[in-house]
Amino acid sequence: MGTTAEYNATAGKVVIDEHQGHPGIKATTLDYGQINDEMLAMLDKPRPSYYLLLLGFLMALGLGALSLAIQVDVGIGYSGISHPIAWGFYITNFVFWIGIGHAGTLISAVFYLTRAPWRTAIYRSAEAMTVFAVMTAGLFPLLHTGRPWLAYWLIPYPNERMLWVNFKSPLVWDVFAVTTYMSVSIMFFMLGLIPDMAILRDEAIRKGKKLKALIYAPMALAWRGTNHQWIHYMRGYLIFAALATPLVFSVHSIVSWDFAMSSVPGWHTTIFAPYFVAGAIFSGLSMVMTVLIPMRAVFGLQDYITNHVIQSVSKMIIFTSMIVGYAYASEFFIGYYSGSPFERAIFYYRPFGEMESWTLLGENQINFPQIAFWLMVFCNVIAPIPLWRWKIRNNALAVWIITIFVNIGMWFERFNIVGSSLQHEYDPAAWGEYWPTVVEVGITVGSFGFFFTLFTLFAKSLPPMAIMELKEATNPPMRNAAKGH
Amino acid sequence: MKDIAEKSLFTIPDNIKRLLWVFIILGAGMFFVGLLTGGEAGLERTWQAFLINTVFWAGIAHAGIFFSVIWQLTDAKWGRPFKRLAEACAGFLPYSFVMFIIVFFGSGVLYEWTYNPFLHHGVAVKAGWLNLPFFVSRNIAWLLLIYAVSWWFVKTSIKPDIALARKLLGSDWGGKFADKMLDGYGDHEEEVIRLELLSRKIAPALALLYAFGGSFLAWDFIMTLDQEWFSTLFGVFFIVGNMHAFMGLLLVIAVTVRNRFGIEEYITINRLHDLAKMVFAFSLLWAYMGYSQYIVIWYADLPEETPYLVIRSMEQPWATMFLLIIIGVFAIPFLGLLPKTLCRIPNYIRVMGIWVVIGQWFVVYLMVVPSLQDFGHYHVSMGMHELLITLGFIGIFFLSYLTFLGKVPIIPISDKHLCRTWHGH
Repeated sequence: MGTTAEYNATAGKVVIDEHQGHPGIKATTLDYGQINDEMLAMLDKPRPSYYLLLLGFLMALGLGALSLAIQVDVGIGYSGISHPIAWGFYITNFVFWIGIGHAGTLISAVFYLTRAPWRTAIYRSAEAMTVFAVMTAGLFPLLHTGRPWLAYWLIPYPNERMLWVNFKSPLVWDVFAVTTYMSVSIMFFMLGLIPDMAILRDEAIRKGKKLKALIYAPMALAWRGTNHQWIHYMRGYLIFAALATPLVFSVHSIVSWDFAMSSVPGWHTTIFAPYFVAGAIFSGLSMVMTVLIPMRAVFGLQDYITNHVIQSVSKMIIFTSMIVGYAYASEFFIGYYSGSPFERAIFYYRPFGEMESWTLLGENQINFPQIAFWLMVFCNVIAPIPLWRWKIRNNALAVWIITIFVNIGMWFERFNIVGSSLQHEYDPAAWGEYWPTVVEVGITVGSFGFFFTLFTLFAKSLPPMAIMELKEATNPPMRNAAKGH
Repeated sequence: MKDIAEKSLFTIPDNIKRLLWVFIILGAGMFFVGLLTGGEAGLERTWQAFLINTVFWAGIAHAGIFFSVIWQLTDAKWGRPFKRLAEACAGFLPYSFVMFIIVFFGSGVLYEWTYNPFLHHGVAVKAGWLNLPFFVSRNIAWLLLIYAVSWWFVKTSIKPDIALARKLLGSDWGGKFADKMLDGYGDHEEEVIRLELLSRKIAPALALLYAFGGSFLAWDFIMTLDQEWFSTLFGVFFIVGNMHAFMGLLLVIAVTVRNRFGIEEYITINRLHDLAKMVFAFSLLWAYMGYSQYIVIWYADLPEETPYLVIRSMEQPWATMFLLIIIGVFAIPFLGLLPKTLCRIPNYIRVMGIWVVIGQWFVVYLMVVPSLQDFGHYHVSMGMHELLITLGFIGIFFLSYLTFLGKVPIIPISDKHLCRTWHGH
């Protein structure tokens, strides 16, 4: 079917219906009680399949923990990181997970400010993902320091060690940016939860579940839903949204400057900040879809996370995919235009490998950055192209498959940046190769385990959708009845 | 809808038309006088003033079409009443094309690479990109492509409006221009649907074209003035600046049109507020882009990149102008458009709009002029050259803009998302 366009003679204009009349959630057919019941049902005692899934994630997490133990015990030399490649999988993972977090803030804060109605059903889960992704990301710089137990040295305070952090280093900026981002994300997340926590608290008390009530009551902050409380709540929410919006830009800009501030060819380029921000939103939205589309199928949430929501996110994915594609292209163009042999060399090396030895069939084996480069181009620029079609956007399974490609592509984009430039800096005598060791792979798998374990636990302990806002988005029953619909 | 169609057609009032023609004559006169007299310095100043205004006003016109494209793509309802005001920039496109062609004749004065190419260890490494035949041909190709598609897009947007106006007010509405637009126009109901679907197809293509084409115009016409310097962000920074300037101009135009045509029920205070918020947001975005470009270059301090910024932010008199621009284009619109109350005063936001346009003009000035002066011999030359040539461009821009606007319904009356009152959703 696709997009339908009809002419409405009384209004004298075209009516385009892309989403069968549903502005985000199936507003017209749901009543408050139904929303309440369906949302609370999601928090019921889980089925065995849930435990099976959780077990899988926990096993991945266990593998990560084991690898981490070996890594910390033996020391950083046990990884593939060595001169000249000082940043390998760990920093790649750090940038990847920080990026995943951005979608949550974008959806909860930016789309709140721009009054995009389709955010309602997905923002809670996306925000939770932000918090978990930043927690996951935070592990990697700590690990990468080699002696994570001394990480508090990064905090500037007068101390008996007479140590003072180097404020000129972008890595220190990162410490501040990420901790700020994390605290604001957590506070914003908790703030949004307040009215829903009150619902859960009341429900727990009603059913006589004391332990649950004990947990939920403090989080509800004595919420009674009075006018007075709502006024302050909405003000606070707006202010937090306005504070979180610049953070969407600042955090990943500063992460990008970890690279761009240096004079390493392929890293030092001015477009990095907006390019990383767009890339972060791109990967974050894809991860939101990767997680929520199965969840929607399992819990039967088609009335909430409607096809319209999936379509809207898909459009954002197309948009950010094009920004990322633009950034790739402009890097290559300016690399050529600069006339600098180092710039030109690195942008030749990324897609094609060594300049002199490169042949079409080649005796040389393909190196890792090359694989990363082509995966990045394919997954980030080419794979999202089908989303231009209405039919593909409307098909949750197709969107899900594409977003998995994007997740893979965005991981390899970061690896392409980290790996290739450090392998081939200025002096060929100082070139090197990088292959990850088993602990790095283990910790990478473990980071996915960590993230998904947290999310799986979240989905059964806190309402994964904003119950109160879903109710706000429905038509008020009384007024609706009065209109005679 | 009928009332809008009735109000729409207008001819430019004689006194305004006369004023704009005086501007054009003054500008053209200054241009020729500057080229023929005043020696080398006069030649340079004439061409630099011409280049600044060409990229500035063309940038505004491009951004105008671009906003219409964005509204089409995002289904944004708040922007609907401004859609035609944005599209009327299409009237300037033929002239901006001519202006770019004229710039080619000044490339010997403006672009150092035409006579003294950049050498790296004695090799002209940039000659592959920076050579006149390729420069001229690729830019003509870009411009023709972007302008053709822009015009196609604008045409699909105005056609159904003109047809609807004729349906409501008789078949002689709009005269010859409308006849030409409606050539081969079939049944209204079918055409409206066809054109809407067509427009949805052109819009993304045009958005892509504009992003890439606009960047290449910025790189080619401005960045290569300093042939050694390069920045990947420069294209984006320039486009964001264009959009900011256009939004400022749109504030001015929207408030004026609102008063003059009495269409307060479409361009409501709420929508003007939205527009003001947009200017506010673009001030921030512009500052973010500028900062992202600045700090990366400043920090790495590489010899091929840093001079561009040293000249502009540390050498007088540019350092002062640099500071004033940050205050003028970022700080003042940021603070001035922050309070809700102020954003809802039409005359106040109109002044803000004018301020932003002037500020963005100086941004382009600071991109262009320091690159053209000899190192260490910097001076702000503001005089008749700059003033009159700028006036000339203002004349051409507004004459073409108003002429176009006078021939079409001033509000997209057949638009699917247009609604009379605004409830804030």
